Amino acid sequence: MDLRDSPKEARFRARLCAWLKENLPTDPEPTVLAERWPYMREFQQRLYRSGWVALSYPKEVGGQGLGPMEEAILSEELGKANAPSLLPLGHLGRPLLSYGTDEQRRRYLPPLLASDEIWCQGFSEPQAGSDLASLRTRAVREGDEWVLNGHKIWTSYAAFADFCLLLARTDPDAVRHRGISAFIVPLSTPGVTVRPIVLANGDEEFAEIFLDDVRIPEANMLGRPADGWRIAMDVVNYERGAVETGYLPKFERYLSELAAVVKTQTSTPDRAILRALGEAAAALEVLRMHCLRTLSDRVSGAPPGPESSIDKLLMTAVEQKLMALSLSLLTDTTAPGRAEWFDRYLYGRAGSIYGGSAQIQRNILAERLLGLPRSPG
Amino acid sequence: MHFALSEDQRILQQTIDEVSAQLFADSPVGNARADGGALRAKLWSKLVELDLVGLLVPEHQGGAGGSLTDACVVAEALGRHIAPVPYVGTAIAAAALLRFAGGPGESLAALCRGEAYSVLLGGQLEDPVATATVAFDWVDGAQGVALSPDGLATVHDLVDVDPITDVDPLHRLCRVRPVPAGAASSEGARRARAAAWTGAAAFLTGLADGALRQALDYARQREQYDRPIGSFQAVKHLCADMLFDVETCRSITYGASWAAEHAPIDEAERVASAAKCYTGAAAIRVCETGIQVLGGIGVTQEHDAHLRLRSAHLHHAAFGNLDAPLMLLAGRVLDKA
Repeated sequence: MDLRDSPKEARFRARLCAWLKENLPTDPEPTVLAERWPYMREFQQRLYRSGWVALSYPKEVGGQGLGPMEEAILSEELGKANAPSLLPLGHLGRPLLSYGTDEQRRRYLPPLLASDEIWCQGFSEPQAGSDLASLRTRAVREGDEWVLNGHKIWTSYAAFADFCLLLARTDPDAVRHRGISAFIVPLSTPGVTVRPIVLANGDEEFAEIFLDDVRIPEANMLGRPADGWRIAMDVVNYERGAVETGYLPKFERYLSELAAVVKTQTSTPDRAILRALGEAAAALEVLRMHCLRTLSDRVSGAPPGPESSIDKLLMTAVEQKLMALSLSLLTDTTAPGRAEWFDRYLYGRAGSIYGGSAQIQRNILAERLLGLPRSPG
Repeated sequence: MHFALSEDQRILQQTIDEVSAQLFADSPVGNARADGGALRAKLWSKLVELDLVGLLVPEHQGGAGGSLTDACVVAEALGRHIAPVPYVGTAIAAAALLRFAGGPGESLAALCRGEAYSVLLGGQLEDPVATATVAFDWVDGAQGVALSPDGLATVHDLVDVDPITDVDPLHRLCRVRPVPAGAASSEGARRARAAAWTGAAAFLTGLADGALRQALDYARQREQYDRPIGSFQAVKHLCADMLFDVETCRSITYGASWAAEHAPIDEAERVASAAKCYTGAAAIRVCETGIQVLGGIGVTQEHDAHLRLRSAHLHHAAFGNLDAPLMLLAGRVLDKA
């Protein structure tokens, strides 16, 4: 155990902090997603041009050739500096890196990493949520093209995206997950319709994608036929890791905002409020240490596996605890920020649903880590 | 940054697991309730023989020169087996006080040799503010260790020792004639308190891990409706929740085991506080859930699940239960905002 930076990590951190000092945007982050998106994207493009994004991707595809440790330092320092959030899409380059042909990597990865082209993941369908392997979107080979038909839902940021990493059934005779392949679908292709889903808090983060005789070149398959399930599982394992997705700094910011709320209300908070604040702070420490532990595993070469379900459950638990805290603090209907916090609270309810519901995560833990027998049905 | 146990620490873990498993196979933990301290003494002398009681103490002071992480590895493994020894109270809390808060060197060396020392607490097992009145995890003939009002760790001969019938028969509490005590204000005393919180967190993590293992064994083998109960989602999710708690307890505990010893004192206290309050609540939850999975047998005297839950409550209460660490954390957050 040694939780200090190595000399190399410390040098990286110091360079980053110096850059951040000079380059943070001075105007505040907009709260509405439609305005926040270009703001986040602009900052991320600036970060990228200065070499602070895609740290752990190889240099030849536009990365920095560093490791997960540097990614974690970036996420931590962005949080400390109150920087704009990163686009939560870093994990979508992973499947291209692992399964893409040389040509696919060269074509797609650099603009993805530079945030010049935005990607989304088309996995869930109206009839295939938790039971993802039952998905029905079909890809049929016609000459040197694939023809796609189907309906995707809960696709994050599809309304802002240029490409979709999409799962479709290529072999209707194979059992469930064995007949699924992955495709790179330009969303500008004729036959693609994207319809935003308005979330309870008003954000249009999610969307539906309708595919109506969408023709894409043969070369747009990612990996080999029937690799789709493996690719999807890799993506969700990365997606579930707090290290990869930078939740920690966001939650730390929430906690200090809530502490500031307490200070404006009273100079002598009562014990119940102190306890609730203390519990949220403790939960954040647990998340921080758990992230360090996961990160350390990643640095020593272990790819994320089923234990990432613990990370996912923990992130959700911490977020929902913070939101519960906000409700208990902002009881005065005239308190400034009450409605905004309520919107965050509503959004927090999605945490235990997206990316594999909390119940699916528990099934994964019980069956894959604890080795309990599969359930009937 | 490196967050993982070393090869030596893994071997240490294995050693304690083997020693405990062997000892408790011959004589179940529950026997320690009424064997006049025989089982406790047997395991304690084994730990002394393995040079594990003085892990927190540098070699030149008579100890084994290990780290707090080493001591936490031992405490976790002992917790897993509900071991009835005062490892948290004596080898971690008392030793840390003596070491970090300027206690007498001869006492520190004697503690490492296995002589009995109890850490002295307040009536609610909190860190004493003006007087210390309770000897925690008391062993026959023990001397008491407390922080004196002038901030130095001081050893007391205990008088009017009066056993308390409390929730955990494996870790005894005794009322003693009050001794003057002071709150932790020096850096050394604060570091000792962080070590005690972390040690308790490690023991609690072990208690929880043991509960999970017992529940899993049972869920795999017990059949109802012609199938193992562990194949039903209702039971699986209980087990998954236990695993979640155990693994997150491990993360915060081992993070704290490094921070409490090596980080600047403010950070050391912050992480150790989080470890203490999080693992206290989580271990109780896991031990309760474990009993739920075990069904009827879990609430009998015959099974040791109640002893595990009892120990979890005691160690949750020790060193200021949830409140002391939560108040510290809240104060820090407010200071920063």
